[in-house]
Amino acid sequence: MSSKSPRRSIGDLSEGTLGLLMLLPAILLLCLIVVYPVGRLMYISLFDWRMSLPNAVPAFVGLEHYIYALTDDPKFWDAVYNTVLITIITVPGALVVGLGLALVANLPFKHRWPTRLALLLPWALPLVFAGLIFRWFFNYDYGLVNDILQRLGFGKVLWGTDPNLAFFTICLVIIWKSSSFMAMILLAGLQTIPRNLYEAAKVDGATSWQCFWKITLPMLIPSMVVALVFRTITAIQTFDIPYAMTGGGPGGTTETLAMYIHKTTIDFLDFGYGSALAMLMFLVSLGATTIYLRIIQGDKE
Amino acid sequence: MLRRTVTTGLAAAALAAPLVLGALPAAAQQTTLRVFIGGQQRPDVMRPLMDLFQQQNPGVRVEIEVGGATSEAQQQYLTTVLTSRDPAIDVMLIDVVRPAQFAAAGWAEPLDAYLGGTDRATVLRRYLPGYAEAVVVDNKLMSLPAFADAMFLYYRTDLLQKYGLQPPRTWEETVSHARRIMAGENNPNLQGLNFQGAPIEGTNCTFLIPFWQLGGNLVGANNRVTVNNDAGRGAFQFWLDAMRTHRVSPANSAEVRTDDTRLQFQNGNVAFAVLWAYGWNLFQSEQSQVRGKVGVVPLPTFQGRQSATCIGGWQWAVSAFSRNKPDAAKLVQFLASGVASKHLAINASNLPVLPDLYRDPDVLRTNPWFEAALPVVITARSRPVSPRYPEVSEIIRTNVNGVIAGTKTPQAALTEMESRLQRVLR
Amino acid sequence: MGSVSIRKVVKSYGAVPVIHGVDLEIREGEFVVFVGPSGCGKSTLLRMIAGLETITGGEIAIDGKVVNDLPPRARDIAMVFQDYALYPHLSVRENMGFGLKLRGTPAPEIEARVGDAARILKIDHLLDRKPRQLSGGQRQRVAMGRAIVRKPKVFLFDEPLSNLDALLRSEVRTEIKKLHQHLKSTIIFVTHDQVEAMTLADRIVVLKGGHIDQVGPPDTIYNAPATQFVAGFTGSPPMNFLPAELTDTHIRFENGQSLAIPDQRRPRGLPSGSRVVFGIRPEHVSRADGAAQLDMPVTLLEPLGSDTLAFLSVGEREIVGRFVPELAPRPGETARISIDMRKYHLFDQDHGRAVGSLDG
Repeated sequence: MSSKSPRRSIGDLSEGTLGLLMLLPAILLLCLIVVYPVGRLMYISLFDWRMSLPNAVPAFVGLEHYIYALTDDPKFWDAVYNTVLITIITVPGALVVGLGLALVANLPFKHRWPTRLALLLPWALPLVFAGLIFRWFFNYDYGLVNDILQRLGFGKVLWGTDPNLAFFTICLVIIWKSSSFMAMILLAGLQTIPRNLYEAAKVDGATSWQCFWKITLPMLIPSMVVALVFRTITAIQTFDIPYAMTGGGPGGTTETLAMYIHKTTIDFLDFGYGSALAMLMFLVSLGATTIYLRIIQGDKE
Repeated sequence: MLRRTVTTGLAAAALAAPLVLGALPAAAQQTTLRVFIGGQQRPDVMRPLMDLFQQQNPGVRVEIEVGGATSEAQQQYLTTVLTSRDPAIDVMLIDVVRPAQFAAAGWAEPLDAYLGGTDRATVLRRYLPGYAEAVVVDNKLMSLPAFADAMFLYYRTDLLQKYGLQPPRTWEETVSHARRIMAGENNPNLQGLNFQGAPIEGTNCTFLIPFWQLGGNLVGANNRVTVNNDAGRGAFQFWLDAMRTHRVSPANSAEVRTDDTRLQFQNGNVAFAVLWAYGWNLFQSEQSQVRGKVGVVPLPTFQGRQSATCIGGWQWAVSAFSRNKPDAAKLVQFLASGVASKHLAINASNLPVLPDLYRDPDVLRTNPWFEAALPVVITARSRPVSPRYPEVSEIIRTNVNGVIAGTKTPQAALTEMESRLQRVLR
Repeated sequence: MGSVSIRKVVKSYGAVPVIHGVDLEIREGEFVVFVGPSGCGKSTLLRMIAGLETITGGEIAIDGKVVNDLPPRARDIAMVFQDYALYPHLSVRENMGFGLKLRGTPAPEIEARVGDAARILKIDHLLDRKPRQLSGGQRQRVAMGRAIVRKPKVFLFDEPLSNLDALLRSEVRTEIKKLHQHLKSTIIFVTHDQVEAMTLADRIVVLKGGHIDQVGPPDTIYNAPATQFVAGFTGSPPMNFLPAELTDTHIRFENGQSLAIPDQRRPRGLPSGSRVVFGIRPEHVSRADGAAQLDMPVTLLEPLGSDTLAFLSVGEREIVGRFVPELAPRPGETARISIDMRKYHLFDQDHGRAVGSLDG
């Protein structure tokens, strides 16, 4: 550095500049793994881009894909309907079940690890495995569930043929699978609640039930919001379990938005339209996250 | 006799080829060919063929990569490999419905340049006409036939004998036989007629077979899709009646996948099953409950109608991104030879692509029913050919699955199929 | 207001006993302080009264009613916790009114009682804040306010001042005392700090290892400690102890020095030659002329401003004396020191019990 201007060491930089400099690696990384892919996705969504015809020049179609999806594609709306229904059933469902599990796991048993291990297992199981296992559970001919029903003197139930039952079993499995994630976040939250708050409340005259409603629940709200944000986003992206359990059947009644995107891009190789659908899903997730963040911020004020 | 000579000639040429290549200095280098074979296409039976090829071609090693069990799962994997232009796979075994798409996408290497001077027509003359046609797209040889397939009606010889019944020729007969057997057996686990209704590739045939038999033709004049008609309604009605009115088909037919049919039949729970040829070999295997009690006939048709079945089968293609195309092409020609076809017929009950083999005593010893299968394979019909076949398939199978499950009326399904297919096939 | 009776109370965790049969009667309106080192069982005893710990044996009665099997909410007590245990999600107003609300008290009455308590504690301007917006001292007052509004039979304080800095601690201490005079309610207060115990208590209960060592008013505890432990626990600096032998007329220390026993303070019931521990408080070690004087080398001085502490050698042992600064000896010199023999104590060398009936 032989320039005439005095050499500046890092210490001479203003705090703001230094801060920016230190954030730079994170910003670059974020650009690489978030901004670029999303930007690229948006770009592709504006073209008629088919990988099944790789030598054809993709034609610019502007917002045509979006307009088609929103106004003219009943399969898109069916998939959105199924996805929304799965979200509004399984997210609160998993919250309630997860809260119950977390409360059980937080009980002062002598040995807590069996409960906690049981909690961890569904979470550690890959989604597709869970889907395949339950597909066998609910299998018409060989399934455990129908076997039990028959032994109890009931008839066999068409779990995979009746669309309502198929939808119900999928939701059940998603709740089973995701409630352990909920429970783990809520358990961490439960453990941060000081024990003496309960003692104070008991002395103040609270019953165990009142302790739960007046202390546990309000104190868990931050953990619940975090759990809900994560769970809602993954619920919007539901793919593996219905894919493994029903493949979208019967008659497409359990096909989610993510499955439709997968089908469009991977099976049909229609990257242009698939990208537009993926952008729409991204916007929905973004919207859901924004709402939750607003709720948290509103609570802080 | 002439055909046989040609076949023998090809086998001789295949044997001679390494000698020619062996003279080249490049042959000293070791080449590894990676062959993609679906899990349901018996990679275990394929392995000895690869070993034979390795023996005949020192310097070439063949590895088998086992893919998913279903045609769709394999397609998804190949799509990922091929759209990313990955050279990892040299040779792949693809479903008969795929060549058009592979050609349009430029995923398969045209094989015309690798025939060693023989002209394409001469090469293809040896194969069953339907399969010879299927491998040529836009006047290019995209693949070579591996084995043929079609849907047949499997039945339980013991049950038919017990009730003094003959193998059915019509659907009406099939249903009445099935009812008779079910009534007589009084076994709640016994299914009369099992077929595939899950949202899978094979379900397309579940619809197309009765549709064709009733005179339907998916793509008519001027590329117009014609499915919303009496044949379409009749096809759906037949399966719905089998399930609901006659109660010979299981109530959960909308969940039945190809291998579920095979398993149920193999476990002795089915009197009649609509299934591809691969079932035979497994039904006669040691772990089968129905060993020695299985018969196969061409699919029935409706009273007074022409028979029709769905053409199946698999082809060998060379990846356009392979780094060893000449060797890969040579392997493909070997795998499409009479030697290979006979091996597959005997060991996997794969229907041969060469007509002579249907009269070959070795083949007929293990598959006595092949003789009767030849006319079926010759007359079997193709599913619609399109570079956008995955979309075509999805439209048909989702709607058929919906009707079988009862979530859609046949009329709603036909209307949707016609409008959506029209947009894809135009 | 309520009385509290503790009868033969035992507590053990599994096979480990921590309270070994405690008897205590607390009168209505009395301010009682449990004091002792950590692990002595004082907090456990308090929590048993509160109902937060089960009672292994014996019984506890509040206002004559045995409460062993009653949950805390049925005992009509209020408790102030060491770290306050304020509900972080509730405002000060809601924190204070929480107990009343649970009991279904009408809203206007809650409002009035919270307001009164807040005025007494001078926190009425903080009612709408959340606990995290308050300083330590303010939180402490809210915790007390939460107890006051309930108007319980008994107040329980579990080391409520230990999280405050020294200055604030003495300030709040004074206020608690005023509060007691104002409310005239029964208070049981747990602390490990003898100054708090001395300043606040009507009666002090000194606990050690799960036993009561002594119960009595502060001046009794100070002037007539029942054990060497109690003597050593009170006063700052605490009482000096020197092992000694009793003769007919003197107390002789290990180094051969001895002090004459005044006639009116002769120990009773102890034969000549008994081995004892001689105890004397620092303020009774002086330079005033007196009958009992010893020559002691001065090792160190600690000036405190008002007084000066001098560390004095008695053979291998050391004692502390409290002197008026002007009269303090100089370090290094051997000073002639007076011991006020009207104020000495004797303890048993083995059990630490006060012996010689000096205060009887």
